Amino acid sequence: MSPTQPLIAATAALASCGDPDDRNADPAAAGTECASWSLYVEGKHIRGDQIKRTKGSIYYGDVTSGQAEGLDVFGIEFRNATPTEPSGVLSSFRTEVPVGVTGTYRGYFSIQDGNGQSYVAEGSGSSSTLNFTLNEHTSTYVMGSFAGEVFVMGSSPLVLDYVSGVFEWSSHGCAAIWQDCESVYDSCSNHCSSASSDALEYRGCWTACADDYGLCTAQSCLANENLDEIADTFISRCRQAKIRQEFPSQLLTSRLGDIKKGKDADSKKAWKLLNDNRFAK
Amino acid sequence: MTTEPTTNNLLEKYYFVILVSESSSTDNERAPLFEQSFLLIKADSQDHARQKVLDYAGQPHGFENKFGDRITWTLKQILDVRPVLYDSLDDVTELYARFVDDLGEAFTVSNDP
Repeated sequence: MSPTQPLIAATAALASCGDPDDRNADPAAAGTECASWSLYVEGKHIRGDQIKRTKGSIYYGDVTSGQAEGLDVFGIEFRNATPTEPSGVLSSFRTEVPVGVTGTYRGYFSIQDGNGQSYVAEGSGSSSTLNFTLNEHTSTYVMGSFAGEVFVMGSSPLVLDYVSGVFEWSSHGCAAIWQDCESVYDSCSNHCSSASSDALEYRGCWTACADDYGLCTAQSCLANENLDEIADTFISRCRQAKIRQEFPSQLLTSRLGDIKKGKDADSKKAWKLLNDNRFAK
Repeated sequence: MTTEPTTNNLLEKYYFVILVSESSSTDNERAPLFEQSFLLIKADSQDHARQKVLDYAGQPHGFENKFGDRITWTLKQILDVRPVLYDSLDDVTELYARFVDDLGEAFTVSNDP
């Protein structure tokens, strides 16, 4: 393979994830990258809400250079919408994940809990390990879990603790991942309540939680459960492109709830199309 | 103390209707698309129900898709108009049934609704 091929491919991957300079975009808006996550560390539950990309929330690149120059590294970074606020929570990792492949990996990970406490794991070159499981991994959607050891930064001597959690990212905005799944985040603690302070047990229970989370997301493709979503966004997320040939164009920008309530023939036709599994992805 | 008997005859005078519509497009390369609809219609008679179906779906309906093609839906056939099987709604209520000789017949157009 020539040296230029990975660079071209990486550029394409970045382009599919949006402009890195969109850090001021509204993370709740449809069509904007959006991520959500929940984790436990040192007995604390840290949950990310309205998280947005700051400098590439998902990317593929060369870990040695820190830039997107190859296809062998997967990275994701979540930050609260107001990262400069004291409560801003940052979580990031990057690990060696071939594009389009799911599995369990090791890699670098860091967490700031918003109160000045940091936790760091290094996949290589140190004694801590952190495993990631990507349950879903496409160019527009990533969902998985992680668990392992992290250093409690600032402790002396340096203390190792356990961290575990789930994460989800979508290029179709928060509406694509926050349908009826918030309660699933709460259930994560139930999954792990009986786990001992062992990284493998944590990993198992959080993977189960990630499965629930993914299932919840899949179920949210029922039109009746997404009444606040814009039709065009819902179609991109849940329906085959060919439905657009049959769909009244003026209703693409309408919310599903308004289409459902519509008494005119176009709204009725659109509502039936949105509910027909013939067009489901 | 006596209580009024509860009445659950919500389906009294309702008719079950099956119809098929067909869409056409100004895009000649578009694949044909049909729609099978099941309706509950409140009516005084079967003929009244049929007339209501025609009022509801008898006129062609068109719109533009995002590619600028004109999509037109037209009622192709009323497959069946029958009173619902039962008047009341229970946990499970069967509204309509028809018997067929083979599986293929279940998916074909009936000519004597």
